[in-house]
Formats: sequence, structure tokens, C-alpha cells
Amino acid sequence: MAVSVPRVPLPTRLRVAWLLGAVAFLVAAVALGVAVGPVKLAPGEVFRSLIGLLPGVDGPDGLTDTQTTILYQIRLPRVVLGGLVGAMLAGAGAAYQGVFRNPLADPYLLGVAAGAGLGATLAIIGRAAGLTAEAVPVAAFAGALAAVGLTYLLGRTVGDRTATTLILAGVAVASFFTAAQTFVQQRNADTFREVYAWILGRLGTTGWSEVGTVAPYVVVSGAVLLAHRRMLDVLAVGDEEAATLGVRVGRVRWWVVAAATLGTAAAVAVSGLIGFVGIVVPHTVRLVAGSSYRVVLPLSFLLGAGFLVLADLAARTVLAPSELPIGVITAFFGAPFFVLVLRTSREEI
Amino acid sequence: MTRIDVTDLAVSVDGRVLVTVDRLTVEPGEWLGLIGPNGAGKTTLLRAIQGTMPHRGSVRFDGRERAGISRSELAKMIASVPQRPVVPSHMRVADYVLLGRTPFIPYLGTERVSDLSAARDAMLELGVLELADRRMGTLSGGELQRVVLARALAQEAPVLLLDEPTSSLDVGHTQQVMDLIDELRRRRELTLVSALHDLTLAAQFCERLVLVADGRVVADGPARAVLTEGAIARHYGATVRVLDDGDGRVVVIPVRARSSDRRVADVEVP
Repeated sequence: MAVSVPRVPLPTRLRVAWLLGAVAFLVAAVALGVAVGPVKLAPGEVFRSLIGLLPGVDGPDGLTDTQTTILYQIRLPRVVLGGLVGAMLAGAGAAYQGVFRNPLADPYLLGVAAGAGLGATLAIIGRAAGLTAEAVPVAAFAGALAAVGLTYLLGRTVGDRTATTLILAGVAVASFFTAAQTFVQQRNADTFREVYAWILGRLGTTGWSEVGTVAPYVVVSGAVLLAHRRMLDVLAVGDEEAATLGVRVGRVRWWVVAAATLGTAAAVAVSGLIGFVGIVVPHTVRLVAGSSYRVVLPLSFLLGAGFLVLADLAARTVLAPSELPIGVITAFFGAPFFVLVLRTSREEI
Repeated sequence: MTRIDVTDLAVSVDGRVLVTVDRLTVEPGEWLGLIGPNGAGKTTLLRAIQGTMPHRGSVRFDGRERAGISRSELAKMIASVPQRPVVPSHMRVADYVLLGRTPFIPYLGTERVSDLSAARDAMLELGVLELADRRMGTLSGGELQRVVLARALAQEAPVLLLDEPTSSLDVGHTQQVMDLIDELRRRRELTLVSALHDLTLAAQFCERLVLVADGRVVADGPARAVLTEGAIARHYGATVRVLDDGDGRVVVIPVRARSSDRRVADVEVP
């Protein structure tokens, strides 16, 4: 009786089938995202038009000038922005869950949301004093980084520098910033609607400028996080055992948190607070494809992008011509879907 | 083979001294057993030696001061298995054992062929290669203990520190794992320090025993010299018979206290 024994224990790798499946999902989401809207664009013509952008390929497409303008100035920027924000939130969520060994960690854990909220509120109110609309994302970005920076300083000076200390410092900082935001908002009740709309999140674009703003952060942050995928697996055995394996845990945590925070802050600055993506997408990947970060991180980026593109599609079509806040859609459709995945999966979180 | 020298070691937490050791040497290739009652400081001493517990005094490996050795280099010299390892229940066994290769893999790199073969050798020696694709959470107690040992072995460190390696195993698996550890020690020429609460087991397998009580070394020597009925009554508050097993080793058997024994224990146990 020959028992099949593997020759060497191979590490978990991202299977080609998973990767192709995730890419196909993203491509399908993008195709739907650009095709559907008040003006229908045939996906075939869109594809031909996009191929025509490649050097050396020259073929006429069937789009009118108006359709071409809608495609390149309205639909495509919005879809690309949705993809970048979704990828960033899902990837950062996965990284936070790994670095804090906490399945409930999301990219807003250390105060990004509260800091961005305060920054955006101040900028919206400041418009009466002459600030331009462009100040809102800048202020949100600065507020997010300030809050997480403060969390890190507190976590280092108080207590024992463990992940738990950092999370608790984040709770304190987030509460403080939220209280400040609420106070400022109450004193300026006339801006309430606008602030509320910002907090709920939206993917409104003006051409490609938002994409240009957020893309560099997503690329750099994504690269740093992906490079740490094996390290995140090492942290699964806890700080002390990781240390006995030669890992400087504090340094790994700093790099991962810094990259995830920078990317999240940039995403929040252009899209407001879109909840749920950072938790649901990574966990769905874990349930379906296993828990190694070599699989979870790349798939979270791809599926997060596709998920948010679809959520945005729903946000602008369900009650067309009016738009629903995208955060409402991610939770409203994401929650039942997630329950379904939980029920059908044999894995535990 | 590596020699360990501990001198003037003191571990204190919040001003309370937990462990003090004036001098403790582990000879190259030796299996040293740390025994002592619960809370005596065995685990603290092991953590101080491996460098995960701040302490005063000096710990040297082959004469090299540990404080001057970087984390990753240290991980190539000492492998350790805690009493209750953190078990990531969804991780594949292969991935878990490969974690032992971390000190050899560049910060952002991945495993090379040499890492895979080192993990394979460790898994073969512990008989867990066929578990490679199982999830950690599905292993039995005996399988888990061998997989955790395989990770430590994959580190290829000359020093192995084990904290209660058999505490969760039944008598059969305990003997199996202890025999395996002894075999590995000889084959790989490891210097081995393990905390053990089972005194008979310690007497049967360890070449030398160190009895720790109240944070101090109170006896040091071969099992026959350390494991006396008086010492066990004094430090464990237990009534035992120490018997010859007919094979040159001793066994320790707890017996019900007679009134005279009980009085001794009452007086002497703090």
C-alpha cells in the first residue's frame, strides 16, 4: 500500500484559477459599470474604443462623439475611481486584520474615519470663510493621518506597545475626534446636510482629477502591503513567537499600518466613508480561498475593486435619476451576501 | 553543539524579583530538565534565556553574549516551543512548519529550495509530512505537538528550549514524543533545555535536573541526587516515594500522606 507523501511541503500559493476568476469578476464589473447608465453604451463598442487607444491599433468604433465623451469623461473615471477605492479599502482591511490578528479590524480602526470626518467637516464649514471645494479632500486626508499619528504616539508612550494597546489608543482617539466633529457640526447646523452626505460616501467625479489624486497612493500602499504578505502569515503565531523566529514585530506592524493608513486616507479623501468593504471582502476571500495572506491580499485587492464598482452601479441606478449613498449599498447588499457565504462555507473566520 | 552560560541573572517585573540565578551552565549536547512546582519560575527562566523576557545579568552561547546578537541571528541559534503555542487554526501545516525558516528568508522574500528541504527533513523526522495539507485546527493533540516541534526543528538551531513539551498528551503519546526528542537531540547534536512537571519523565529522559523553587536554583545534578523524597516534600509539598526502576534510573510515585509526612509538609511548605 503506497501512501502518497508529498516530496516537499510547498507553501500556499495563489492558484492561477483563483487569480483568473478574480480578474474575470473585475473585468465583468468594469464592463457593466461603463455600459449601464442613463445613456446605454454597448460593451462591444466600448471595448473597440478602448482597444483603439493602444498604439498601432486603429479601428473605427461605433460610438458617437457624445457617447465617447460620456465614456471617457464620465463613466470610465468613475468606474476607475470606484475600483481604486474598493481595492484600497479591501486590501487595507485584510492587512489590518493580519497585523492586529483581529477579524473585526477594518481600515478605520485606528481613527482614519474620525480624523477624516473632522477634517472634512472643518473644510466644509470653512467654505463660508473662503475655502474652495478642493480643500475638503485635503483636509480629510490630513485629519485621517493626524488621527492615526496620534494613535501611534499614544500607543507607544502608554502601556506595553502591544497590538491591543494600539487598538485601545485608536478607540480613544476616534472617540475624541468624533466628539470634536459633532461639536463643530452642531455649531454650524446649516452645513449639516453636506457634511452628512460626505460622511455617507460617494464616488462623484469631475473627469480624471480624483483618479489622478488617489492612484499613486493606492499603487504605493498596495505594493508595500503585497510585499509583506509572508510577514503577515508569520504574525499569525503572535508577537512573542514571531520574535523568536527573528521578526522585529514592531517594525513590521509600523510598515503595514503606515502603508494601509496612507492608502485608506487617500481613498477616504476622495470618496468619503464607505463602510463594510474592508471587512466583508477579505473575509469572503478567506472563506472561499483559505487564510494565507499570499492569497487573501491579492484577491482582496481585485475583488474589492470589482465589488465597489458594482456597488456604485447599484447606487446610481436603483433610484435613478437620484443617487443612493454608496455606503448604504455596500452594507445593504453586502450584509446578506456575506451571511450567505458564511452559511455555505465550512471554514470559520 | 552549543554551550549555554547563565551568570548573575535576575528577572523582575514591577519591582518584584521572579527569578535569580547566580550561575547555570548547560553543557553542549546535554539534555537539561528544569523541574519545580507551579509558579517557581521555570517558564520565566526559559524566556529569559531565549531573550523574550527582559533581565539583568548575562546569557552566553558558546561564549557570545546574547545581548550582542541580532534577532534574526539569534533565531538561527535558538529554537523554542512554548507551553501553549499560538495555533493559527486555519493555517496549513506546511505553511506553519515553513514559518520556522523565517530567520533564513529575507524580510520581503519567499522560501527557497533549501528552506523547503529543511522543512521536509524536519517533517519526515517527526512523521508529519503526510499532514502537510491539513489545517492546524484539525490536528489531534499528539499530531499538533509533533508539528510544533517540526517548526522548531526546521529552524535548524543548535539550541532547543521546550516548555512542558508533553503537558497535553496522554501517557503513550508522551513517551513517543519524549523518545523522539531524545533521538533528535542525538542525531542533530542539540543542546536541550526543557521545563517538565512530570518528575518521573524528567528522571527518565534528562541527563541532568535543575530544581527551581521560589525563583532560585535549589538543586542541580543527576536525577538520583536531585529527586529525593525530602526535597520533593519540601518544595512541592508532596508525599512521594522515589524508587529504583531496575534500569539504573529512578521513578517518582506520589503516595497518600501518612500523618507524620503531612506534618512535615505543613511545616516546611511556605
